[in-house]
Amino acid sequence: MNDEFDAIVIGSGMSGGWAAKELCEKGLKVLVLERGRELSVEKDYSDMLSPWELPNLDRINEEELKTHYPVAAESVGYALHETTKQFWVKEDEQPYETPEGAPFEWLRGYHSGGKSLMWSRQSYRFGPQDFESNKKDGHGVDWPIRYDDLAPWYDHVERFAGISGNRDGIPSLPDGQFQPAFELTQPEKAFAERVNKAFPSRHVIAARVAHLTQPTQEQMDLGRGPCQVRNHCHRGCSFGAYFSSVSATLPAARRTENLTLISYAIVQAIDYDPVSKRATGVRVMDANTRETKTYTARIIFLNASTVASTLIMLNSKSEAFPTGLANSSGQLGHNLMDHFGGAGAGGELPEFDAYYHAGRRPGGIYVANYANITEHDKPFLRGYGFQGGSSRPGWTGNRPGIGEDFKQANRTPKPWTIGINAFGDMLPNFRNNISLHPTKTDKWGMPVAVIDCRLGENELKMMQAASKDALAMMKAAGCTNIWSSEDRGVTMESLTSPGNKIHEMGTARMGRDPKTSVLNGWCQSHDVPNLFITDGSCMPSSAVQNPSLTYMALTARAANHAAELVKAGVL
Amino acid sequence: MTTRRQVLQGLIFSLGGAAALSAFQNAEAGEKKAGFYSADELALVTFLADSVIPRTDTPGAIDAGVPAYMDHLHLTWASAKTQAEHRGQLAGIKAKLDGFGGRNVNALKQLDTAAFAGNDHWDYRSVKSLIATVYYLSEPGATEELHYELVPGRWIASAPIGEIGRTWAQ
Repeated sequence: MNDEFDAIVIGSGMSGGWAAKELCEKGLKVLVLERGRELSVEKDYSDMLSPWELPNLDRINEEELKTHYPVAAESVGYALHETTKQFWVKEDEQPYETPEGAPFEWLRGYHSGGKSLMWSRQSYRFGPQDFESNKKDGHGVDWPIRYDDLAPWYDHVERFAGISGNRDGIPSLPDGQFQPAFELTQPEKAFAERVNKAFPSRHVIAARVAHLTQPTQEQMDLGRGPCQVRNHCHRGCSFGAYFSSVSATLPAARRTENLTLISYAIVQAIDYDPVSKRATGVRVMDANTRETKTYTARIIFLNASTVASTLIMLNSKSEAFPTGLANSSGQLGHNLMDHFGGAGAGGELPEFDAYYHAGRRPGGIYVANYANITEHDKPFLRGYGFQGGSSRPGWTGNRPGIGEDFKQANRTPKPWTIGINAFGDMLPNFRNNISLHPTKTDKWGMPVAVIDCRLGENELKMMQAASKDALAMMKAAGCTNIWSSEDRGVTMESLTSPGNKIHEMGTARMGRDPKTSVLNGWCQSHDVPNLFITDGSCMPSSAVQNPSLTYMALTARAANHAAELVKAGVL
Repeated sequence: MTTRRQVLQGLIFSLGGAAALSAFQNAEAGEKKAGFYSADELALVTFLADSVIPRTDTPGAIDAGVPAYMDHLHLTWASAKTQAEHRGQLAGIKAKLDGFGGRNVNALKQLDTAAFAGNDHWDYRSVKSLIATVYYLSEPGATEELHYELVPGRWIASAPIGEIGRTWAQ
């Protein structure tokens, strides 16, 4: 193997795939280091199995579940099955710690493509206000960029990834380069109209999801095809219809012939030369053989996912950086955020029972954030969006009757239901942090993560308001048999734990001042200019939108900037 | 004329054979290893499955191999705790049926009515739900009683229900 590389990308997931693609397409020789195995569509995807071909109703043996997946079983039970367990980390083999009473649900996928295989594909741009919120309310540090800096890169990644959505014209949730949206159901259309009539500043829209509905020639050339509306996405997609590194960015990088990907390569640390003030190499241990090796390149992109990237940085200690690489600010590992929930409501809309759907749509509806954007009467900072959708529950054993009557009753689906659940904006807070355990290491000798992340009063007030809003919207829509988080009330204990939304971010934040931030506006280390971090670690604030699309845009922007610096001889 | 009891006994003896298991590949047809259920438990589960979801103009739960599937499920999926709970549920159902007059359809109707009228008898409701789940996700349940598309290929958000037909199995 040729060991001469221009760039090393650590991680092949959502952002690492983008870094690899952009750098390869700019002509750089790129090495991608992936700590897990390389997935095979033929062996690892189970999307072509019918329900009766799934072993044991697709349930994982209960003892196995308890031993290997205790956190994931609670957090992502909707996606963790006998035929999908190969995508989820066995937690007993990859330990981490949290303080008593402050759980953090760290959900991981260690294989080529990382969590881009398992994501829920919701894809929303941040709005102009999201780049200004830190400056406005004084929490965290000001974003060093604004919406207009990122807008062309959102265009760039949307065109390549393929995002289905409508042009909704909501200034705080900007439109993008969309393929046709999945049509709303009758109850969803009614819900959208009625909510907007009762609350004119609230907009219910079709979910924007990374599914091809009208693929471009470029997408088809990569072997991708249109979404087949199966909603088996968590089993992988043999059609390559939803965006993942495996379906899209890694194949694009490969066709340049500039890509080398090494599997089972666990990065332990990044070496630093105080004379040149550059990161000089990446120390790797082979997961199977435990052999170690150092790879070198002119630039390094760190995309191992927020917690893992932070661990690598914290573990990269030197005389110049005794608390972790590029940590002159002391901010590395701090300001950890995730979206959080715990507020929602649903109800029935039987007036539409003369209608039914065909196909299994892989998305639903979205309620754009209005709190502190168009509604300013809130006793908290920032806001929340809602994800949801309608469905018609089908057969059930939980109904009276036996025999022919029972069978007959199940031939007609139950009434339409519609529901929404909130995703809140968590304030950046220095106290929420990731650190290295002082003594415990994993089986490869890496210190295990200690994650201490807690929600605060602002988050609680926010979710209490979201809960009331969700109920009010169900009432405004004329729903019957309404259920909501108001039934039991929203308390600190009823909020979802950090990590649960799998949007962890913020521990190597961008900022304008090297004294208070790790990265500059190009996701480039203030201290170590040939080091870029473009996974969730770089985020100064979380906003309310699912962040993957923003990671993609930030990565593409940073990679193109880095390639220019390499070509200009600056790096 | 063959009595119901004889039919059930025939089915019980055939369990492990291909006929009762044809729907479920993972029930490992042909294997002769010991099952989870005792003979009496298997007879009860078979009675419940056949009574709740009998053969009509479409296959019933027995045709779909539901008892064998449930046996395999508890043998290979369930923890010792779940296994014990399930045995407890069956014992509870047996006792209740005895209270309503024995293992017959009339007694089951009374138990079913009581369970749903009074939000009660969760041992029965739990087993009934499992029978329905296994049946409606079996090939006959999903494709003959209801309908299922592995690759729909299109999204129709709302169409008159008559054009769609029956409940989607999934």
